[in-house]
Amino acid sequence: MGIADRIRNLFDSAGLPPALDWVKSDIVMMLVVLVLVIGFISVSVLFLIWLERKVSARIQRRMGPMLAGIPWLNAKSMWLGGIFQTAADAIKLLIKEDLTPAEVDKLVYFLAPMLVFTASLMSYVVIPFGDGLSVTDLNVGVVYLLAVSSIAVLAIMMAGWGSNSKYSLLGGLRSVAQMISYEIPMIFALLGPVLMAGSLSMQDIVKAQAASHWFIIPNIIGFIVFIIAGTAETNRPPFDLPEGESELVAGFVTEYSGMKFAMFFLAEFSNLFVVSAVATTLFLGGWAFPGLDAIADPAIRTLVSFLVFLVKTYVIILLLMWIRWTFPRLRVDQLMHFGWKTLLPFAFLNLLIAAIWVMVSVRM
Amino acid sequence: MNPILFWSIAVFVVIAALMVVRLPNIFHAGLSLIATFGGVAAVYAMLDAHFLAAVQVLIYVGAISVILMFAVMLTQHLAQREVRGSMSRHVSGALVAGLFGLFAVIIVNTQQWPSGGLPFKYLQAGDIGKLFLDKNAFLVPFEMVAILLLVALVGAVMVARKEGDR
Amino acid sequence: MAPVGLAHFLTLSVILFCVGLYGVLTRRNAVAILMSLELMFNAVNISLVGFARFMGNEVAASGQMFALFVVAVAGAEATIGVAIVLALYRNFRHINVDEVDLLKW
Repeated sequence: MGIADRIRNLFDSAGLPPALDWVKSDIVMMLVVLVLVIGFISVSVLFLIWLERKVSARIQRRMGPMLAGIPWLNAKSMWLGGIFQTAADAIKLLIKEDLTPAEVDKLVYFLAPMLVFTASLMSYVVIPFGDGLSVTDLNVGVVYLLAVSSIAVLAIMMAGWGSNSKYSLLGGLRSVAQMISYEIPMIFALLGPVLMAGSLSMQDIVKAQAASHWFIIPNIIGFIVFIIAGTAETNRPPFDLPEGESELVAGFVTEYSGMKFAMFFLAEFSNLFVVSAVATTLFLGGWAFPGLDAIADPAIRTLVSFLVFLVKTYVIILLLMWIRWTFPRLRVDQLMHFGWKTLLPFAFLNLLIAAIWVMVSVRM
Repeated sequence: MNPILFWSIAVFVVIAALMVVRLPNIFHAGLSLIATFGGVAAVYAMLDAHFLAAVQVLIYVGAISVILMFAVMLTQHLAQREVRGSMSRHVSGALVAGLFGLFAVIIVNTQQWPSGGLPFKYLQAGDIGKLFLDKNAFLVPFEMVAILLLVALVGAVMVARKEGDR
Repeated sequence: MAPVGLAHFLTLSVILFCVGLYGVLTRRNAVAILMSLELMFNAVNISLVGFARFMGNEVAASGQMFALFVVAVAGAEATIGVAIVLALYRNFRHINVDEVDLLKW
């Protein structure tokens, strides 16, 4: 059951004339799903950038973007102002001069931003957006997600090296060290829910939570570890030393301008959504909530499950934004010590607790 | 299995491997190595070993490639090209590898392999886990690999450390 | 075109192994030799997984498990190799293996 099957059912129930049967073929369905997913990603990334600016503004007791929006909305409430700000920023970045420094390694320099965004897009394939709404339900979904996030590490290393600048190289190396150090607590934190569900497939984990209870209850330590490790993986503050503006000029994005810089920026917000979606799926029950089975009509049920998923994911996103604008930046040695000496033992502890929980609940 | 799929992935893997051994810029050779690892993961997926394919990307592309690229970045300048060996070395190397390859390909293709494949049970991640912990299966190698990785970790830190550090 | 069988995968494995062998014999940069070595490991893994797929149930588990162990051991070996290369670079300021011949007489 995936998005393609849902769309085919929709066409069947709506009554498709036999002449248009080719629309239900595999190739056309793949293209339709591709367009839907990429459209969803684009819209949510644009919305997230605006949301980030508003949340940061309110936390800092100011108003945020207020000019580039619909005037009577601006006047109504501070929260509704400036909704076209992101579009204006995107246009500005696109028409900026695309400066390529002379001595860069051309292949590597051009490939890095594309690879970062590709790695981020590849994660959306296994995320369960709703009941039967995942692009494909791999039965090694969790391992696939971890594998794809490692590809982003390589892309950042390429960006640091290919720019032929000491700030970029240092920023790239620090970023890679940070990302591979925090991958390990993230993996162990994810293993707790996997153990409790008995499967690596994302849809199976959600169904297991629908059958019993949300997996955050025994795995609360793992949830906190995953939130922290996820923030470090996406290079967000308080772990943004590699691209901190006051530290290394701009870290590994120093030599990038225009559309290529926009790619890194968009990939960061896309990764933010992925980390929140994974936290929702594995710890907060994904698209499941107690009254879902009572809804009879499958189309309505799918829609409601999608909305529930979005609500839960945005709760986590707001939590991550709140963390970003509250804590100061970690120094690089503090960051490494924290990852290896504090977070990893807590991740192991969480795995132990989850294992004991499963063993006890099997006995009962 | 789709022959077009197999041939395209096989050609991709071989071309990427040839680029690894022929490109004079070591960083580009490393990038070709990453492409090769990705191609090999696709081969595993074709062979119905999905868990192994994901593990291949996670470990080879995500960890081993990173460490090899770190080595490249710490020991090379940006546009540094490798000093080429002598022609006699290349010819003798190609001869050895070519003759062995020819020999092996002939042997492999003249055997009578079961054509459609014998019955095959798809191995889930849970089955692999059970085999790792089964006393009669792979428990002892599993524990020994754990010790091996610990030794490698400590050994690498000791070897790469500067003189005079604690 | 003949249906894809075990012989195709084994041939791919042999070709990859020979390319890696050529790289190990020919390259002069120590990290490039390590990369070619990883190619050889991957070639062996392809043949192991191929046998696991095509030779029936008794060997299906063994093939994939053996391949997993090869991945783990290759990881350990790459780590130690890189550590040695870094120690080499610190002492010689280059990693050209042809010129590391202090013990030659």
